[in-house]
Amino acid sequence: MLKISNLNKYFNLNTINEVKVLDNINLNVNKADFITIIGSNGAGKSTLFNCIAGSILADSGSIILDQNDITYKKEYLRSKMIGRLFQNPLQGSAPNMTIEENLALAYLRGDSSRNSFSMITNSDRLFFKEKLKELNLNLDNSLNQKVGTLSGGQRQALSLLMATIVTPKLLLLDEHTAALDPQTAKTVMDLTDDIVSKNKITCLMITHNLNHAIKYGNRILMMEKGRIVLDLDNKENITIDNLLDRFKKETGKLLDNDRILLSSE
Amino acid sequence: MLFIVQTTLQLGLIYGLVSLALFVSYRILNIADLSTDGTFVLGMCVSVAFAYNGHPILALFMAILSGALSGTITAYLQTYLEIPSILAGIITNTGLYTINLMIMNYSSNLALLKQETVFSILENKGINNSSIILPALIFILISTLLYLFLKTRLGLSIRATGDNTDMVLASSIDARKTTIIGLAIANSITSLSGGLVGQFQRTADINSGTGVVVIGLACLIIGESIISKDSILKNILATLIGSIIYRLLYAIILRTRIFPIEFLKLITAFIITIAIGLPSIRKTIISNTKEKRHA
Repeated sequence: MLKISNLNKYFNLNTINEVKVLDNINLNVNKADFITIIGSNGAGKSTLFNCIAGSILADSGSIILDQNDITYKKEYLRSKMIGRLFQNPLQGSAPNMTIEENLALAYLRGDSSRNSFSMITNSDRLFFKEKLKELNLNLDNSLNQKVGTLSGGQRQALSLLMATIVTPKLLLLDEHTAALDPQTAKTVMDLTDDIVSKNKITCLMITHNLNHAIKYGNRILMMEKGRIVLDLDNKENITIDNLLDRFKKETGKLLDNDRILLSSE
Repeated sequence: MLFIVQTTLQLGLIYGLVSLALFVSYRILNIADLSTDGTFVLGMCVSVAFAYNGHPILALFMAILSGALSGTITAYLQTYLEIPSILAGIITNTGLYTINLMIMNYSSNLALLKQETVFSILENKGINNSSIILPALIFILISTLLYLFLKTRLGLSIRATGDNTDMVLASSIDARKTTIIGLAIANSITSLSGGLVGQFQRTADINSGTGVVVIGLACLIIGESIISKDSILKNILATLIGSIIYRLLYAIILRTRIFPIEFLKLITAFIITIAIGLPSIRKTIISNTKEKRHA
């Protein structure tokens, strides 16, 4: 589904501050894989996502998504195939537009039979209501509520719905529950798992929560200094302790993400 | 009294289009478009020049077209050349000064003497008060089209562009395209307003655009402080009501001469400063009184 070969990315190339943020990344993602990615701060996790999504362009290598070479494709064109969620719950939706309008934006993009001047129809509204009901957040009767009035958790759940309302070929989740309180984080994570498995979406998720990494991923990647140092099939009984051990064995140091120790749920 | 009502409605409706345009650029796209002054005069010059040569109706369409072109240029400067939006507006505005002179054959004004205007055509057909009816019809037409457009997929994309840039950058919306279309629409409405003013006054003047953007914003804010801005329909209504209230004040001052009419632009500057600054003034006062009470 997604094939990344020899991907390299430098920051400040050819200056004294040159940093290699992605060091010859090779990754083969199969259809319906749910891959969780863990690693220290600055390991290159988000940069990898930015290269896949197109917010930054790689310096060399290739990214092939479903037989399309997207390495240097424009970001807004890739977004038709890639759904993306960020840590900041305010980043995924437009606050001064209603829930219905936000969903329509996400929904209409995938429907090529409709032109730029198409409007929201009543059948769209019914569809949105149905989808909102699945979120279990009591939003299905507030289609005309402005998104800015929702809580962070509700907005992140809405962003999730927007990213998946047209099933994407690839879903990128960049610590999308990290800014939420534990209870809301759990709700959003359960929703994510539900939507992803129901629609068989190929998904990459960066997380600092080792429990989540083990619980949801069928593959676990560890990144360090721009490289993938460990690629685990999540079939054996992996525990947090042996994850940390293996990280130490591969890199010779402790996993030092400043938030990992705090998240023990 | 009748004079005041008449002038208020005439100017309120015609200049209401500028507020409507600024609603698109300032409120929806979140861009303070300083090319508005120049675009207004551009529309006026194009319209009067065409009317001068005997095409008063075509003149309005050409005014709209010229504004769309000018808006496209401003938007191009800020999207593709990444010039900050305020500077981009000023650059276009500066360039337009020469263009406007060029349209009037390098004279600083152009007057219609016996040529027909859209207003005189209607008067000749026996329609009285054409200077109120025509602008009213045009305002209704333009605002209805705008209202419907903002509900389409493209319209929603344009609104999202101004509302959450981060979201749009990571979405399938091409933010450059939506900015260009949005500014083209806003400026074509501005230049239509200029075009109507030109034919209404039977003259185009190179300096008649000074302060148009500030007055338009003042009207927009006056309207919004009266009508809540929680739906597009109310927003559109607010531009018209704000514009009419502003022109009412203008007409009263003009008629009663409470203070010299030359003061009007200074007063407009005060109105807009107070209107935009009021929330923070209020906040300071509240926190100060709380502090005193606490002590």
